[in-house]
Amino acid sequence: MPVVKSRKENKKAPEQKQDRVDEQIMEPGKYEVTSETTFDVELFLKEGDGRWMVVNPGTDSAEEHKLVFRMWSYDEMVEMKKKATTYDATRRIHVIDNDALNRLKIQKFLQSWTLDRENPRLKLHRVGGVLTDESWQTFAKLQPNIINYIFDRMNEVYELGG
Amino acid sequence: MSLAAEEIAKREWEAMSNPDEVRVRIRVSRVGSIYTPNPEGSLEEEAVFKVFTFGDNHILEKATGYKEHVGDRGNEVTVTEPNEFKRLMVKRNLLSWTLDIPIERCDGWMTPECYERVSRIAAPVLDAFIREFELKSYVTEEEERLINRQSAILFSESSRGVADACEAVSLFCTLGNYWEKFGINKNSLVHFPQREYLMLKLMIGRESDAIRTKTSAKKQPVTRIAGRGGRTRPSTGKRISL
Repeated sequence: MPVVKSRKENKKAPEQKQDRVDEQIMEPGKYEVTSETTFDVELFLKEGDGRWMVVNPGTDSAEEHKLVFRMWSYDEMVEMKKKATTYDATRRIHVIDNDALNRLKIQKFLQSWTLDRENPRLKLHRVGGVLTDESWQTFAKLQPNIINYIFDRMNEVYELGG
Repeated sequence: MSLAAEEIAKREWEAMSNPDEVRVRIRVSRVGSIYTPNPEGSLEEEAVFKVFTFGDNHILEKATGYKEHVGDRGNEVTVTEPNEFKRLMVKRNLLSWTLDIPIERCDGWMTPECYERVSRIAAPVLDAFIREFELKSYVTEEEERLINRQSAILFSESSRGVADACEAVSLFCTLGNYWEKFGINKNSLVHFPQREYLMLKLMIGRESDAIRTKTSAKKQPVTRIAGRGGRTRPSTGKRISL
C-alpha cells in the first residue's frame, strides 16, 4: 500500500478557520459538493424464472427502485483512489482495485435506496456518515446482475461525469 | 468558419505568447443538481496552469515517492504514488480559472485555505481539467509512435527530410538549427520576422544539402567481381595509380 501521507495534516488549526467570516457566510460555488449534490440511479426489476432481472424503463409489471448517491469531491476521490491503489511489482505499474473502490464508493456515498420499501432487512444503517459493514453485506447479497448494473450506472457519473 | 479560424488563431497566439502558461478548456453540462464534464455541454470553463516543467516533475516525484519491494530478493524500488502526485500537481500548477472559487497562491503554491475549497469541487470536473492539462504536459503513446516513425525516416542515410513533421521533429530541427547557429531560442523565435525565418530556413536547408553531397562524394565505390552463379565477392585486385 502506498505510504504517502496527505497534506491535510498541514491544515490550519480549526479555531483560526472560524475567524474567517467571509467563508462562513459565503455560499458554496456551483461546482462545490454539498450534502445536496446528489444523483439518482434508477433501477427497473422484473421477476422471472425465480430470479430478478434488470429491465428497461416502461417494461410491463416492472418494479421501479431508486438509489441516491452523493457526488464525490476531488479530495474524496484522491483519498479513496489512494486506498484502492496498489503497486504491481511484476508489471511495475500502479493498479486500482476497482472492486475495493466500488465498495468504498457505496459505503461512503450511497445515501438511500427504495429496496427497503417492502423488506426492512434491506434497511441501510449509517455510522459517522458512512454505511456500516453490515449494510455493505446487505448490499453485497443482492444478485450480481443487479450489483453490476448499479456499479455501471454509478461509475458513469463518478468516473465519466455522467 | 472564419470565426472559428480566428478563435483558433487567438488561442494559438495565447499559447505562443505565454509559453509559461497552459490553457485548458472543458465543456460542462448540468444533470439534476450536479455539473459534470460533457463534450457537448452548453457551458465552457477554462483553467490556466503553470507549464509543467522538469523541475515540477522532479519535486513532485520526490514528494510522492515511496519504497516498494520487487522480486524475491528483497530489492526495493522508489515509485511515485499517482493520486497524491495529481493532487500536488493541482496545488503547484493551477494558476486561475473561470470557476467561482478564486485561486490564491503564495510562494509558488496554492494556499492551504484555497485548496480547502478547491478540493470540494466535484471530482469529475477537476479531474477533466487535470486530464486535459496532462495531455499537454506529457507525450502520449500515439505521439511517441509517430516520433519513432518520423525520426527513423529523418535519421536514415538517404533522408531528405520528413513530410508533415510532427511537433517533436519540428521542435528538434527548428530549435536545434536556430539555437546552434544564431542563438535564437524558443521564446525569441516567436517574435522573429517570418520573412527572415524563411530565408534562414532556406539557407539551412541548402547548407544541409551541400554537406550531404560532400559526404557522399568522399565515399569510394567498392569494386566487386561477379563469381560463379552471379554472386559477388570483394575485389582482391590492387589499385594502380595512373
